[in-house]
Amino acid sequence: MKKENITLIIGIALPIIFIIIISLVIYLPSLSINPKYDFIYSINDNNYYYIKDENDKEIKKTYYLYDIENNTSHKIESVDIEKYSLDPGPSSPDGYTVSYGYDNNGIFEIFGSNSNRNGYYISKGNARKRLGGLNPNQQYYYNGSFELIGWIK
Amino acid sequence: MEKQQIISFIKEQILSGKISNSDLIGITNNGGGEINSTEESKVPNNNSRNLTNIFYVIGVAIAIIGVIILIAQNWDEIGFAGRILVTLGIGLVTYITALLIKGSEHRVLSQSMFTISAILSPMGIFVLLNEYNINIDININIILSIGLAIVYGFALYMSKRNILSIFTIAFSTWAYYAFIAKIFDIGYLYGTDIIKWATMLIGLAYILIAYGYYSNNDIPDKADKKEKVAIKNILYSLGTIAILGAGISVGGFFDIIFIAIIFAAFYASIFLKNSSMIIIAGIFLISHILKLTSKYFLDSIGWPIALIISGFIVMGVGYLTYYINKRFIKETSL
Repeated sequence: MKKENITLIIGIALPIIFIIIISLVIYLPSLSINPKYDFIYSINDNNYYYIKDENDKEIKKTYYLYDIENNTSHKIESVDIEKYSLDPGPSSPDGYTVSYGYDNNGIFEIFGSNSNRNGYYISKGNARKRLGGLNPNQQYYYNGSFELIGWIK
Repeated sequence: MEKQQIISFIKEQILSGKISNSDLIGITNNGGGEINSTEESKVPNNNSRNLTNIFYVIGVAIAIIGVIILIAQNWDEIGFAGRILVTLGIGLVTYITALLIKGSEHRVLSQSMFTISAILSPMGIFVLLNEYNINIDININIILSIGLAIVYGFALYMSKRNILSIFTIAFSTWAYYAFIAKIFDIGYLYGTDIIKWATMLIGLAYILIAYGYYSNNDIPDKADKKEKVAIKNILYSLGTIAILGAGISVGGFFDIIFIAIIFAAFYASIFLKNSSMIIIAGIFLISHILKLTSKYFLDSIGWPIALIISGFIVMGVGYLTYYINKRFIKETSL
């Protein structure tokens, strides 16, 4: 094969190989993430301002149930929480934790992070997966506004 | 005189410039008749061909501008059918027409048609999606760009028109960035690190494709060769700009590695005998020196000294670029 043909093939293959590699680097670790337990969390929607009730005592929070299988969040009332048997965590019964993180992806970690992928992740060991249902409007969620109430047993 | 002697004699005459390749072709075409080597008879023919080609190119520009103005001014009046007709309709008709014009005498006309088609077809598809209220998200971007790359890649394979390699590469590049945006769940406009690395890589791919595709062709047709060289130079320039432009914005420890990359570009320009590459490398070397001076040495040596040193370095780089270009690229490529 001519030298020029080899460079042509490398030139065409290089971007394709790059896309395949970064896809594998990003998607492979998340495949090993398979949490089973849903969890209840609260978000302080008003960020810095706590809402108090008429007695000026209780802090009102919005509660959500995170459906781990469908990666969706559903708003629930505080009275409904008592219906569930909860493990306060912070780790789930099968060893997963939810935390705010930065998107340092594998080989690109040495080159810096991707700030617009910051958000909440569920992780176990080194593998982790972004919680899509918890990050729909990231700009309203910041590190600290999230509070895990418990894992539903 | 033996056959071998005749061939050797003809070779000598060609090398000495007394006869040209076209004279030989003239002899074979005329069956040994009168040699059709009079330059005077060719000049008007070439001139009229060039004039026709210029008209084709001007025609393309006018047609595209006309369509854009027509759509912009009469968006509501021409209706859905009108909008589709002037974009996707013309795009489709010009694409098919260009594919059907196979003769080498229609090279410029068919490439003009392909140009109109390649600009209007994506516009038409966007108009169509807009009419059906389909959100042009990243998945649509991926499907569209791959589809267009296949359509124009097929036309390139069938017709071998050089302009199509530019369109195929352009649509493939669109697909490449759309894939990266999809994988990383990011918008095109975010200046994230991954986009910088991806841009450097696509720049390298451009240079390799240009070297591979346009260096291995024995091209008998002068006009075809001229087009191939032009496209090769465009890809070399775009590749160099992509690598150096993205590289200079990375920063940090990469600032040191980037110096080596710039000198690699200087070396590559000599190896590939490409003037535009060395000029781009020179501009980026000057920019990088100014960047490093302002970033690391400004506090220690102060503005005036930094300016004086930078000024001399810029002059030095300018002369180095000129010297390398003259000594190693222009002379050797003659």
